[in-house]
Amino acid sequence: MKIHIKLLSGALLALMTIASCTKTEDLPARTQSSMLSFAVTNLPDTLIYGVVDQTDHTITVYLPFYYNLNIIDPQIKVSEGASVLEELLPVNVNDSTQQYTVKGKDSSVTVYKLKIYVQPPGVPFVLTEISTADSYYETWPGYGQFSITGSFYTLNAKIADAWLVDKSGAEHPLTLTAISSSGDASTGTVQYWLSGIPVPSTLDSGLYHVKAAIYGRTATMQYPIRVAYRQPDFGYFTTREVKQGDKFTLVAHVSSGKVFTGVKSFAMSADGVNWLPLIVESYNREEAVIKVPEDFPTGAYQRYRMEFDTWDPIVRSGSFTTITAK
Amino acid sequence: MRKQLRIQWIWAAAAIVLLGMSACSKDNEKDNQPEPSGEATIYNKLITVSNFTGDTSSLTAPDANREVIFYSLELNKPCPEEYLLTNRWDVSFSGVYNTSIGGNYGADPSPYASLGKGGPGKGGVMIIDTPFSKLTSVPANVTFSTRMAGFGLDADGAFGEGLGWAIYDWNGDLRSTVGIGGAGPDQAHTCWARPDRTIIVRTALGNYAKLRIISLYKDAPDEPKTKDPAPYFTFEYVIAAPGTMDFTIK
Repeated sequence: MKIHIKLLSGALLALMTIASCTKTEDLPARTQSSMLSFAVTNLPDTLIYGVVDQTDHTITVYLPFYYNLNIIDPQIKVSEGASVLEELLPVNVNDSTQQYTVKGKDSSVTVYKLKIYVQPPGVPFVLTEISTADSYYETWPGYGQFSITGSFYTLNAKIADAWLVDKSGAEHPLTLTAISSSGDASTGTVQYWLSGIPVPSTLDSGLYHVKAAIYGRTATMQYPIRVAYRQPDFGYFTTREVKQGDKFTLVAHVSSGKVFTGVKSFAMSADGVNWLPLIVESYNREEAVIKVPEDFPTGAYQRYRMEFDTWDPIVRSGSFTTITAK
Repeated sequence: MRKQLRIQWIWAAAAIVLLGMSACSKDNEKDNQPEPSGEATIYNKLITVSNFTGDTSSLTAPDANREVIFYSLELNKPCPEEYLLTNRWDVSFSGVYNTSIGGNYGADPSPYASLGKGGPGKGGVMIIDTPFSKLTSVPANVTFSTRMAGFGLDADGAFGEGLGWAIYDWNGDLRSTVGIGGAGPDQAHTCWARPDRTIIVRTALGNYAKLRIISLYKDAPDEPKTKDPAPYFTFEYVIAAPGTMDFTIK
């Protein structure tokens, strides 16, 4: 009887031992092309590990917002003898297309898709209105000092995005380079403002809504801004020498929002009295291509006049343009 | 009989437990991270880089600040600005003619800190009044700058402050007084690397390198002229093996 009990106990222990591995055996067998870990290395004195899911072959990385990362630099560990086929380069946190192909020593291949989630701060993302229901803020195509204020919670402009959205819903991306912050001690709040943003010079005049995004969240100002044309002008240029029949480029004063619109003619003068026309071959918002007529008198010219369809003509003195014989 | 059965039972149980344990063994792991330190052969080798191109767009103002450029000594290749907060660069070149050399350091909170501020970099730069070929190791008790503009133009020339690795010759006439620089007006506004100075770089990974800028003009002419294309850096360096400060070339 005792022997039977002991044998029964032994069998039970064996079953328990085997049962302890049952869960592992139920999971899909790990291939020789498995990704074992994925770590973010570009953090001060720490690593953030992604969750590698061997069932749906995904890597999920959660990044706290306060690291201000616009890219992650990965470190990947794979099964013995396996390798990652792609070159391991930093990945933009907004990139949803990145995947890694792990090839095992048995030539099996597993493709893992990377998902990055930036965990936002615990406050809503809002933008500060710059227009009101009665008065729309006005700016100009090309103007280089547009600003957006809001609860961005970063000092890294590269991780934010912003657009001007026209009435058709088309989004015109803005180039963001600088962000600053200031605190309000009385309310305990911090405001962040993106500054020095160039308004795209190609925009048509009209109303646009300002939209911005950060940490996977977006916000749009309730009231639109107005983009309007202003008196065109050309910018500073250095002394130049041009042959008869050749062309040169005249650059608009873009950063002041004084882009070229309705350019009609361009002329130069040596004395400010006798104006000699040149040929406006083509122009866009930012520059005009001017051709010197074959019979244009040689000499040095320092006065310039540009005429437009609807704007006042501009007359400027500047650096010399010397016309030489062809 | 009972004793024999007990022993058999113990052996059987032990075998089953061992079998069960072996069923739980895990795969070996392999670190697939590309070695940030580059090939092992990069250490204690003299490496020369030619015409590493800076911001050549500021054609009208030679003294204008330039767009910052980055170089990885460990990987021996330029680094794009988008990889700023990584260990993939060791030296930044900013300021006039891109002459301000800075290291990749993440933990300096100051407003003038390294451009790697907030990143993983452990680097820095310092300059020493010793020629490159004479410097065999990192001197004791040196302090590394963790600022963006660590070291650049020397006080012997224009715009300079303290000890620098380059001289800006405003008029093109410093050779007669300083021993380095231009010898005529066609060399006004030229920049000259000092052969008597060596930059020591602590890389982003914390290794040490000695660095000598040879020229910042295209193809490193011996006598740069005012309008020669710049900045195109030619430089040489030696990285000490990890954990050492020895610059001996092996």
